[in-house]
This record gives sequence, C-alpha cells and structure tokens, in this order.
Amino acid sequence: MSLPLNDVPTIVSCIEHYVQTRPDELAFLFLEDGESQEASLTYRDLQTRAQQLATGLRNYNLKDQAVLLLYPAGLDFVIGFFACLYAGAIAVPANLARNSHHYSRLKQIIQDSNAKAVLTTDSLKSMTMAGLSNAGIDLDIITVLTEGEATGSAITNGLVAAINPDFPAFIQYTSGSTGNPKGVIVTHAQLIANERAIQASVEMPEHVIVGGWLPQFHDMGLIGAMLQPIAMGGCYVFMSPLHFIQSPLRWLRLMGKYKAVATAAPNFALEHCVKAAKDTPLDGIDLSSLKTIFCGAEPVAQKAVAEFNRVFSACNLHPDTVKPCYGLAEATLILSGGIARRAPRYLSVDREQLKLNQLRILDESTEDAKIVVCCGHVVKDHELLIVNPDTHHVLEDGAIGEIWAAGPSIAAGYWQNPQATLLTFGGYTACGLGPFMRTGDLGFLREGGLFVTGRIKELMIIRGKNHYPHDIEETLIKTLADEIAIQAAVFADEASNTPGIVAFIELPRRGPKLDDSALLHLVATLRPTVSQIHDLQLRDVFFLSFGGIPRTSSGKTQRLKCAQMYQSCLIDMDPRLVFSTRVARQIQPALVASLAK
Amino acid sequence: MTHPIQTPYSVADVSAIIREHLTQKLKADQPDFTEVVHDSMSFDYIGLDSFSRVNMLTELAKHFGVRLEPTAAYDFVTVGSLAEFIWSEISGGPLDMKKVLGI
Repeated sequence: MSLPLNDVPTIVSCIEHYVQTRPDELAFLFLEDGESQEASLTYRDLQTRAQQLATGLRNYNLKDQAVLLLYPAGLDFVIGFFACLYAGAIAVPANLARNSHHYSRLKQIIQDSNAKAVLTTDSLKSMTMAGLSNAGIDLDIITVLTEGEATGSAITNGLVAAINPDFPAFIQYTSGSTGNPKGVIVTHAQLIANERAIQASVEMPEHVIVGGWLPQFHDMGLIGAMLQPIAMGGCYVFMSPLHFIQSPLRWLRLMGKYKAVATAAPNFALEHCVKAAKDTPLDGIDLSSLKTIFCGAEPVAQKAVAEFNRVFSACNLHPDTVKPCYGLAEATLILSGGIARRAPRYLSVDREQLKLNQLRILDESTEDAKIVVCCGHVVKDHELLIVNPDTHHVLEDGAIGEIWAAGPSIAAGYWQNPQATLLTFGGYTACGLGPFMRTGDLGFLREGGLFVTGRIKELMIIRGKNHYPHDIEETLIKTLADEIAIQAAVFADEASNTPGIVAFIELPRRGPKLDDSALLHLVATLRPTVSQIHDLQLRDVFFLSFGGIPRTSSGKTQRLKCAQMYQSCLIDMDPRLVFSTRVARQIQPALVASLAK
Repeated sequence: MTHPIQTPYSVADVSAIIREHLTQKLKADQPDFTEVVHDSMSFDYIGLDSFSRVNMLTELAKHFGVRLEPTAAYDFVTVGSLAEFIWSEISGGPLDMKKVLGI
C-alpha cells in the first residue's frame, strides 16, 4: 500500500499532507464526559493551533530545548505535543502531579531533561507553579506557560522544513519514582518508523478510526493510540482513563458508535470489561467494525482473552480481534504484534521448568500448566534475536533467552546517561553481531511467533504499569529513615484478586525496640506514602529481625524467594519474624466467628 | 453494601455511608488497619490506589443514584470533603469549597 506514512521523514509531514487532502475531516474527537459530550479538532484546526503555539514556543527560545508537558486527558495535550514537534522543541510528556511526591519527581525530570519550560493549561497554571516552587524549582529560570500566553496569530515560515528527523522529538521517562529517572530519547525518524511498524503489523487501513482511553502521556497511549491514526490520516476517538475505569463498557460503546477499527489496552482492561458485563446489558454495542485490539503493556492471560471473546461475541466481536503484542519504550513502542500465522496462538508449558528458563511443552489439558501467549511476529524492518544473557550466544528457536532487538525505531538512547545507554543499547552477540538493544525480557521464538516468558530484572507489572521493587524499597527506607534504619524487599501479591504489594522489612541489628503497636504505627506511615508515590496498595508487611531477608551468598536480595515464602506461609513460621500484618487477617475470621456465637 | 438504599437526609448520612464502605473494604483488604474511619481521614492515609478510589466512587454513585466525576476522588481527598461534595450533588445545593478544602 502506498501510504504517505511510508514516504515522509516525520509525523508532522503526515499532518501537512492530510491538511491538503482532508482539511475539514476530524483528526481528534474527545468525549469530555466519557459518553456524549464531544470536543474535536479537524486537521486544519490541529495544524493551525499547533503551528501558532509552535511559533510562540520559538519566540520563547524553546527550539532545541526540552519542554515539560503537564495536561489532563484531552485535546489541549495534543496541541501542546504537536506544537513542540513543529517548533523543534523536545516534548517531555508527564502525568499530572497530585501531591508533593509527584512534584518532587517532576523536579527530577525537569533537572534530568534540562527542561526550560513547562506547558500547561490555564486552570492548572497556578497550582503547577505552587507545586513546582515548593519542590524547589526556580520559576525565574523555568517558565510555566499556557497555550493562551504563548500563542499568537502569526505563524513562522519554514517550521516543517527546519525539523531534523534525527533530532529528538520527545523523551519518555520510564518508571523510577524515587530513583533517578531515565529518559528514553525518541527521534522523529524513530517515531515514524514505529508508526510504520504498527500499521504494517495488522495492515491498518488509511484514514483508520482508532478508539481508546489510555493515558496519552507515554507508551501505548501516546504512540499506539494518540499518534498512530494521525500518521494515517485517520481519527482518534477517546476518553480519559478515569472514565474508562469508572465504567469500562463505555470503551466498547465508543468503538461501536464511532465504528473504530483498532484500539489498544492492557490485559486488565479485558478483565475489567468482562466483570462489568456481568450486571450490565450489552445491547446497543456493536463491535463488527473492530478489527484489532492491541493487547500489550503487561503479560496477556489466555483465560482473560478467551473470556472476553466469549462474553462479547454477543456484540459481534470477531475472535481474532484481540492481538497480543510486545514492546517497550526503548523500542519507541512495538517490537512484535499482529498474528504470526504459522505459530500457535498459545502454548501450555511446564511451570517449574519455565522458572528455570527451560521450555517443556505440555498437552493443553494438563492441569496446572502455565499458558504462554504468542505476542505476534516481529514487526516489519526489525530484527529480534534470542540471546543467552550471560554468554551472548544467539539461541535457536524454542530456547529461552533474552530478547534483543534492532531496527529503525530502536530509541537513540537514554538522555545524558552514556553508561546506561551503553548497557542497554550496545549489545553485541558472541559472534560479533550488533549493536542490539537488550530488552531485559526473557522469551523464545517459535515458527515466527514471539513468546515472552519473564524478566531478567525483577519488574512488577500491575495494571499495565511498570513498578521496580528497588524504587518502592527506597521509598520505604526513606520514609522510616528518621525513626529507624531498615532494609526492605518488596514483591507483588500474586494470589490476591485486587493487585497489591507485600513488603519484608528487616530491622537493624541495634535499633529501637519496637512493640507490636509501634510496628503497626510504622505500617500506618508507610501505606499512605506508597499510595501517594507509587499509586500502589501496600497489603501485608512482615517485620523480620536482622538477617531475615533471604539473600544470595553475594548479598543480593532474593525477592522471588520472599514471594514464595509469603505464598506458602513459610514466613509466618520463620523464627526471625517479629511481627506481621497477616496475623490480623488470620485472627480476624476467628474473632468474627467467636463473636457470632 | 448490603443494607437497603435509604435516601440520605444530610451530609452526615452521606459520610456514614462512605465510612461504612471503607470499613468493609479495609476488613477485607487490610484487617490490620484497626483505626476507626473518621471524616478527616484521607484516602492516602487509608492507602487507596487510584483504581480503588474510582471503584469506590462508582459504588457510591450507584448507591446514591447520582453521577459522580471520577476525578472527585482526587479533588476531595478526605472522607468528610468527599461527603460534602456528594451531598451537594444529591441535594443540588451549593458546595462551600473553602469549608470543604479546609482553607
């Protein structure tokens, strides 16, 4: 297919093209209430507003400078983002700050990226200034701007021609709330290369209508949902993530009403919809136009997909619609997706063998088999290798190793962090092939399909978001530092219905002697902090005496072992356990039972 | 919530429902949290993540039969201030922002 997408140097050129061919067609449609209140931008609106704001940014000397973008969900962010691209500024999209911890993180991002300005809305300006100032940002040096202030009616000539495709378009800051943030640099060329890859993976048609609700500020919500349809002269119809969480069937209704052909969502969204369907009528939802649901950002559960397909077949959902995919910020977004025709859609494997990174395929009917889902085929113009992470030997099909990737959308590196850049982006195989980007994910290839099996580093993915245990442990340590010097190990509570985390806290050899109520008081201090900084629920806390956290002989925390001890309840009987909140859970039912008599 | 829906007659009624909801949730998820939930307690203190906050709001909206913007859980961060907001939505009365935000 001869798409303008395939011939242009940047996504901005796509906008320029479609302003010529369909200026009055909608580029964006935002449902302000998640249901029917529409706000929209035509291609011409988008170009005019973005160019006017870009001219304003140029007047503030922001060409080649990083600009932090702080916006709620909606159309203003779209304008702010494209204005940065038109201006030759480097967009740094961020989530809105809701508390002082978030503002501290924004300060770290501003300092790391060297941002010279913050773009925000009229209604958020004073709160933003107050929050940043309190966090220690000098507002005489960093300008907080709104579109209204910066924009004029004039438009500088030659904005598009001045864009260097190999210059950064934006920086994606990956998780690391308390640790130093790492900014993934994506150039204009890398961005458009990934949009090409997404289009090709499912043969997306020109003028595609894409529906969605993901946060617009990073990863799938930015590149896969917000930018993809524009690159193809289509339209992005969307609502805020909160409106989806509040009533998930709104997403499906949106796609039916606007005849969306594609969308993207993490696995948990499928489960959320299935749950909502239990007590809500589905009439009026027609998904016959929907061809693709890119399912990524977290491991895809075959059961969740099967349930989703079963429940929504009543809405004309085609069983091939959900297409698991795999990617990461270091690849701009997608690395594999679409349907790998020759590969099985999923495989039943031996759970214990998988923990040892060995693949043993079982019969589908085997009880307690682990199901690994195929994440499609490697995307066009890109290469995937499975490599032994220690020896760097390339492994054959069916062998589990680290996924390495190369191609035009692999990001340029980490912003001003040459060490981390070299480690991640400078992988060479034992036989000298490279450089490859080392994903840190484990998986295998089979008949053209990629299967992702785990992480090398211990990463927790909860509701599609990455959380590094180390960051949360740092939060726990810092929060209690004034009172007591602890060590911590954190892991996800896999067994529970509602996602949460568990902490093992090791008390110092010589420290204040704390009784049960004092320890409970510590928990009461930790819970709100974990919620505020990481937006996670700290479920159980186990206080252990010195040396109680399992470690390797070289002193490395064994978080997996902690999780196993927790799941098996072995930790409850450990002689080094001083106090745990799980005790309350066990006492409670007994107490309730005794009260009932 | 298992008790029958009763029309709330005051902000105190609304507050009681919110506190009951949170108490039940804590019993299930965090039984070591033995403090009594009161009006000036913040959702941060209770340790609710954003997903739980939106779900709480959805249940409250269903219970009271009103539309509630999901952002309300962030704008009104204590039990008491959320109760004031919901009461103003139910009764149609004005919301005293200064009082609610404690300014």
